[in-house]
Amino acid sequence: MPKWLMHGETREEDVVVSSRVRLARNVKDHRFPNRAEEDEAFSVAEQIYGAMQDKEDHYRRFLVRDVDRIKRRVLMEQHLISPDLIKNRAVSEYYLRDDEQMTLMVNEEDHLRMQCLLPGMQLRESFLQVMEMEKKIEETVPFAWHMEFGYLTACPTNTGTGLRASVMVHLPALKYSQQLKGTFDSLGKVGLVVRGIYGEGSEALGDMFQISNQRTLGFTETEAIDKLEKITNSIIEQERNTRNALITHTPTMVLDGVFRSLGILRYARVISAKEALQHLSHVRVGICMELFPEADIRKLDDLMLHVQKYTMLAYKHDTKQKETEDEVRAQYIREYFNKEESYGKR
Amino acid sequence: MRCDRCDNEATIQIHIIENGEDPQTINLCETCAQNMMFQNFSNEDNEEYQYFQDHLKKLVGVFFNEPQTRTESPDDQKKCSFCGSSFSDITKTGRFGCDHCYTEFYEQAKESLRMTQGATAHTGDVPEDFREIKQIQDEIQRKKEKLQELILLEDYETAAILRDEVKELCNALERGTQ
Repeated sequence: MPKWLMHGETREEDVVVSSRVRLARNVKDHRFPNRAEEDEAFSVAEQIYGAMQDKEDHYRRFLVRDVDRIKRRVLMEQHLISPDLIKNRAVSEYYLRDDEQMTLMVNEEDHLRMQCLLPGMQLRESFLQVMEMEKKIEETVPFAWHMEFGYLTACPTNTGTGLRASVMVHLPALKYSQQLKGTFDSLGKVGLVVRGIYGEGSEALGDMFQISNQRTLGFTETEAIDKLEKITNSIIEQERNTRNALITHTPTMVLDGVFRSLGILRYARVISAKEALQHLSHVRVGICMELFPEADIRKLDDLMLHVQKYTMLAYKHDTKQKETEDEVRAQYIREYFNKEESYGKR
Repeated sequence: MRCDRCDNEATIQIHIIENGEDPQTINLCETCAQNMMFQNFSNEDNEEYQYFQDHLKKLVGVFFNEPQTRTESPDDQKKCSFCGSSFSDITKTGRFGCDHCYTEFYEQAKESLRMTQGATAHTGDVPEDFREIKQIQDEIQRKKEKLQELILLEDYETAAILRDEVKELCNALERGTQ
């Protein structure tokens, strides 16, 4: 189970799965990773390592090239590292805090990407933690800075605050009632952007969407966080209202959707990640409706992370199973629901 | 998401933000995006598309590729003295080579920030070492605005005092940045 999902209290978890804030920084007077030779990239990494010395107790350092190929993808699926970090593996590394809620990525698209990932609606907490880390590193590492443009990044879309805040939201009712287009169009107008669960260019699976700020110049960090929080709160309300309306007007249909999906998850012998996530999304709605009062929504969110491609392949590899990925996944899910008594007896 | 021009799946979404107004969104499929960049739409009645085309050309020029219509300027030969990137390298990759590129290609950097972000001035957090300078800069800006007001009100006496204060702050700034 990803540790980051399990620590601390969460809020609004019926709609918000996780909150994340990341800051992009570069070290002054060094070529950015896309332009740097290996020696220079290593020297940047050593500077960051120096700044992390007194935090060694709580952080572990990993060189991406030393991490197993599948394990790297697993970390990506669990949102702990980014695709660009894997791409730059010759020179990239990361630091992971004990609770896995904070990651520092070194030599990604920028020299340093700090991210704090928390369960539920915790944008503010996430922001405070990441800023604290940034200030700590800034004590010893001078960051690339321009009086007019702010913090300088490789891609101009991050220059300024270098801050990207995002929430992962579960919107099955808005999707079912075909209201997503309207909701998402209005997000574009206020400078927010919607993506699938793996960020840019990825497909939305299991009715999960990632909403983040698009711009990093012209407003402060706090303004960016406030805006995202305000809009997310309004989306939470829309989703809840729509769920309530569907339950009030078409109760049988909603119940049928939840239990039919539970049935498939309990009995299927072959299931793709996409299909599994769709059915798990329906079961998640059932938990929010208190159809399974004993069920733990965080455990279900954890299952949703586990059924993804590479996490499943790693599991198949570890357990030395000969079956196909989709067979292994179906078996894993069957076992989960058979063990969990909170979903009722079979 | 469907393309605004044909009914194919749109793969490119462009938000145009101008003068702080609400952004306009264009959704395009790859074919239409290419057509819009390099074809003339003189027969196209829709003014909006010509407007989009101009912007698309600019955007693509700044960000992804050399636009076909662009003429060589002396700046194209210039390379960043720190990392060796030319601005054409930057537009090809969409990435600056180092922090110095932002000052060496100041005008182009500013334009690409304006195009991608709709703003060019950072208002957020300032590193500890630059906080004082930033405060002085902000103070100068405030006093200059006040000065303009006083001149309009023909209060030249107070204006003169303020002008001297601005001068003093500018000197302090110069000393601070040296």
